[in-house]
Amino acid sequence: MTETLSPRDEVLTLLTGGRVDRYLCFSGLISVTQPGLESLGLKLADVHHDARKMAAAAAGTHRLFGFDSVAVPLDMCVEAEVLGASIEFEPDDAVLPQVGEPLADTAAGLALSVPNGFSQRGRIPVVCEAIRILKDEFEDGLAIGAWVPGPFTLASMLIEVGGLVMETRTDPESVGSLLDILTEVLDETAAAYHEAGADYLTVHEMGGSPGFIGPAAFEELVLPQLRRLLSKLPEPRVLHVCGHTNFVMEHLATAGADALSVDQLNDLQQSRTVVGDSQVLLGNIDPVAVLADGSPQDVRAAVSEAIESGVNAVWPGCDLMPTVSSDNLRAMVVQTQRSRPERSRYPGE
Amino acid sequence: MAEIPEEIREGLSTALHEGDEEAAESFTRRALDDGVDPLELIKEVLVPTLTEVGENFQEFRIFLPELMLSGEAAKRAGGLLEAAIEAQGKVVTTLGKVVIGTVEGDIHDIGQNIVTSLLSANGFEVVNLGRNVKPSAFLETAESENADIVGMSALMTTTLPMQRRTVKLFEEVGVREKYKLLVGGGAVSERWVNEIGADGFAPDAAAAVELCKSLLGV
Repeated sequence: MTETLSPRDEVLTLLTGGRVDRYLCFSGLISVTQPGLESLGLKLADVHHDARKMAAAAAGTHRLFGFDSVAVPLDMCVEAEVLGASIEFEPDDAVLPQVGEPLADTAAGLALSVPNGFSQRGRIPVVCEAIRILKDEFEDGLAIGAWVPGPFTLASMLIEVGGLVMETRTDPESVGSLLDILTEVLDETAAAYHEAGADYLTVHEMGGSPGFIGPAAFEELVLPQLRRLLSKLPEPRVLHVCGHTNFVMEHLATAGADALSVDQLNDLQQSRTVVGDSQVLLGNIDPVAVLADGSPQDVRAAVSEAIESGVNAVWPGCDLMPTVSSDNLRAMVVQTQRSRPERSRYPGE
Repeated sequence: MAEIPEEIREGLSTALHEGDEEAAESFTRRALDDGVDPLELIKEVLVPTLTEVGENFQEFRIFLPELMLSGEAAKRAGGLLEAAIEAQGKVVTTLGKVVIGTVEGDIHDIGQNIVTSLLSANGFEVVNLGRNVKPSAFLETAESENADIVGMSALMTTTLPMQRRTVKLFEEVGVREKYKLLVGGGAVSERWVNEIGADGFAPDAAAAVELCKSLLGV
């Protein structure tokens, strides 16, 4: 009987294709919000170097709005920083940290040095500590997610993006060699998060979207790395790919993830047809046009549409914008809770 | 002036489609050596080919790598042709001049690069200032280049205020009405455009091209 499942068990059951009697609303990606920070008396800039503050800020989205899980880290730059990228932490505004000037113009021109003991460096131990704090706090009541960028996304934080994008055509060998190294680095990072107690891991492939670099380059360069990375991660694993992904849903379904997350550019109905009923699909509420700029009514409509189109759980199409309004996040959770899953949604029924 | 030989017409077009800079330069040089009018080559080959490239991108027949490589090949051919035109004492005519950049504090310039490629493909002259561009740099370049349009990109919500500051600077120095000021980026909405008094925004690169055309009436 699923009524006895804790929210943690519900998330983990759902991610591995099991039956849950309600729709869940959560995100395995960045979901820190200004309202959540304000409720803690924190600024976003405070949370990236302090495990306790990071954990509290991540949990804010659960406490204030009822998200069914929490996830860390709260920025994209953790691994890039360890690899030598300069990171700009904005002191005042609610802006996520971002990489400064790229280390090189091309993959071929990048002299990458991966430090020994990668997962012990930079802010990775801070993220691990935040996971342990969250585990202590919620015990087994709430699923704690952790995520790493996809290999191409990490590459795009080290190399000038235009150069990297063109190099997928002009010098795919150099891009592939770099991605080989980055996949190892991400595996090591994810393993550290798992060891710290993360209940599930998400690979967040933002930059390597097939809608961005094209399905051919995606299949040749990005997909093999995603397969390799996912095969090394413990279950349950979520693969999130941004942008137009309908070209490659068949491939994503066999990439080795337990659940797939897509963004608002994905035609969910078409995806559901391609991947079948047994594939766990998460998505795809537009974090900008709907959650940040829309009204609660827009949010309710988007949630209903996502559910009708076949998602197994409602989650944002990408990282939340910290400026998202409280009303909209409440509307997202409430509208999700109002919906009841059809029994036929689950495999074997 | 000589007619454009069919071999050169096809060769240059293919080079542009394939983003082959060397071949684009080689066919352009051959055309000029053969006495082809550089303006004709732009009108008859470069513009229609790059328009096709832009359409292919919009229709997902090609993607960003191909679009950017075509843009690089076109830049190589275009540079040679512009020099040849200037040597004749003539002026290259375009649909209009656009100064574009990613605002100060923001280094996410891939969106603006897509817009730049598509605007160039559609016959606009584009001055791309790159990323982390100060309001004063937008203003100075717009004035010195005698631009028609200024495009400001901002990916982050927290760099959006730099778009407002840039619009304000144009107002403060009394040149606001000389330009169409456009804003773009993932966090920009219609509401924001109205709030800061810009002239428009487009949700994607293809729409940005149409917006520029419509604002200039071309």
